[in-house]
Amino acid sequence: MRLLVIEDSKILRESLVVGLRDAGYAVDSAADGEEGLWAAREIDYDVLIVDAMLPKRHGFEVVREVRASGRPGAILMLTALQAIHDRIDALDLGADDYLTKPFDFGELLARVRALLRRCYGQSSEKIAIGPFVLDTARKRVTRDGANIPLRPREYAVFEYLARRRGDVVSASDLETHLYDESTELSSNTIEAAISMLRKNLDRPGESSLIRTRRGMGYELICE
Amino acid sequence: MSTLRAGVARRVALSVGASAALVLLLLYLLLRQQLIMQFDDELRADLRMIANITNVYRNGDLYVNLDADVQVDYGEHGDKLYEVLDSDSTEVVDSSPLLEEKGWRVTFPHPRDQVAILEHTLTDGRVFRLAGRRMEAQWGGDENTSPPKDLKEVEVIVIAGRDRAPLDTALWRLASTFIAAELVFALAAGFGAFHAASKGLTPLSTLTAELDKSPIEVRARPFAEAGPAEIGSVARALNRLLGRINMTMARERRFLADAAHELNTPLAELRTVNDVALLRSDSIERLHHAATVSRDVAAKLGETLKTLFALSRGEAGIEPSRAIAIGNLLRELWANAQARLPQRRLVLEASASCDVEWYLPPTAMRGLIKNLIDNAVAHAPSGSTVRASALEKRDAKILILENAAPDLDAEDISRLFEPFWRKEAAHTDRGHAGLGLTLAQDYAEAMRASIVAVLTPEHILRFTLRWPLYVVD
Repeated sequence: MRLLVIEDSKILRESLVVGLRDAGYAVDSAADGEEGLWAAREIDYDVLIVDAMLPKRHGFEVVREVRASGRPGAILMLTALQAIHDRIDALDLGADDYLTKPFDFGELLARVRALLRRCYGQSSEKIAIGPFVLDTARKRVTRDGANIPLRPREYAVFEYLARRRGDVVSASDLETHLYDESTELSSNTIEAAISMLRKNLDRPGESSLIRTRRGMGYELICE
Repeated sequence: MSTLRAGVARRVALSVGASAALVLLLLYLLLRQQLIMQFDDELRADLRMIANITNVYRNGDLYVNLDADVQVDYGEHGDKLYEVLDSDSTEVVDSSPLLEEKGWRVTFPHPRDQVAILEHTLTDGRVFRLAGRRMEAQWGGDENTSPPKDLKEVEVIVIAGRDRAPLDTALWRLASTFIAAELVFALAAGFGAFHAASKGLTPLSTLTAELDKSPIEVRARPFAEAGPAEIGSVARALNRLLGRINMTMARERRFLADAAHELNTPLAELRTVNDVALLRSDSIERLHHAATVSRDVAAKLGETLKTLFALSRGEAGIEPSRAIAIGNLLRELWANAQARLPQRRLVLEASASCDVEWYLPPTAMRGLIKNLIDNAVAHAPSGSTVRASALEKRDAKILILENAAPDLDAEDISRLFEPFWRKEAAHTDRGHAGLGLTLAQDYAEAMRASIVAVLTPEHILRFTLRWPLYVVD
């Protein structure tokens, strides 16, 4: 899942990026409203974390413009403004949630997870795919109750395919949602990640959980 | 609790009552005099009647020939008396039965031909009003016969008297009536005044009731200014006061909101950087980074709090003045500011006019100049020049500091001294809390100087500090 943090405080921005990346998200950041709005329009982020009082463009304006552009990602406002009318304004402009500073980072992660669930139409932290269960909160995958050790990138690919089950997900879509701007992507990055994931998930003699649709992308076989 | 209404009613009742008392007293005196005159007229009539019937007869007898129909009035239990004395007032020639029976006599000093009136207290305590005169007794014989030639004219003193009890009763009734009238007048005046005052003071009562209901410090809507001129003035004054209170409260709320915001962001930084570090507590590098950032943020928070405390204490200007070399102070504070932000590559151009010594409180002066220089260093474009000059006028000493401010607009100038105000709503620049110019203004006020900010058409921000001569010398 790919997130954008728009926050003018350097310390806060960098801490959020580090913490969210630790939690397994691909995270980009912007230091002002203009840069953040540009990024939000260019890239299909799953969640935008937006400070209200931003230089160049106010956070509320960024939210309004993002919604006007038709981007579907969820928006979490993050601000020191405490007044009720500020929260109402933010939510009315199109924000999906609101968190006031100072906040608990664990709560921020929980809210991001909740927004992702809502984005992908899920009601639970756990996604069941045949014998597999993905625990999106703990970032763990089990098969028939047994833990399957996955690297963070492999888990991210599996989680994204699981959230989009039933869809054919293109390689560029996976690139967009799983890699942030700090990652150097090579031409076979996605292919390599899918290959590693298959090795970890599939059992010999069984058909692969992930089917390749040539020229189109990948899809999870859920039967 | 005394009320204005009761006070007005009391005063009106007193003044109306006093006026009425004066009028009634005059009227009473007139009527009293009238009663006494009427009584005396009747007494004179009695005297005339007695005089007419005081006769001398052929054999020299002289007595009062009283008719039977008035004898009761002059009897032993009557309320009238008479007495006839010889011309020397030594011998009683005749007297009424009241005196004769008891052996009393009345005295009438210095009787004359004209009727005189005086009072006399009888032995039984009754007070009689007497009328007396000196006269010649008339012939009492037959009207058709002349008195004998040898009968000399007999001069006598005739006195008639009346018990004055009826007069006293009438006077007492008159006085009682007037006292009652006076009381009724005063009460009616008080009652009327109370009602008139109540009606007249209704707008004031309404105003005070409104004040009781919602005290001015929590009132949201203005007082009604329509109505009597006096109340309208009070309402307008209250509304002006209300406006100032509301403005102050709004400023205070904004200050608190800004202060909370100013403190919230570093707190969020502290919390997040530590939360994130603790997620990977096995990473010494992560923990070290969190500790370093926490220390820096705490130091900045400390600076903000120190500035807030300085603002709240208003400690400037409490020390005695000393000679301050303005040029040296400018250069020293400039060097300090430059050391903090060397990358700005700014230049201070302090004119020769700055090489003067002024007598001012050193700490306040230092705080004032430091905050102005810090502001210039923080906001002037990199590589630009900050200029300082001093002027000594006939009535004041003036210090001018100016720097380029391309980002400021004319409307920003009025907000420059507001706490936490920044051109950008975002408080990204955490190098300062937005309190420097507020503090500079406080220092200037403490030194009884004025500070004025002006933005020239060329976007030069000019601060003019002006000390009246009596402050600097």
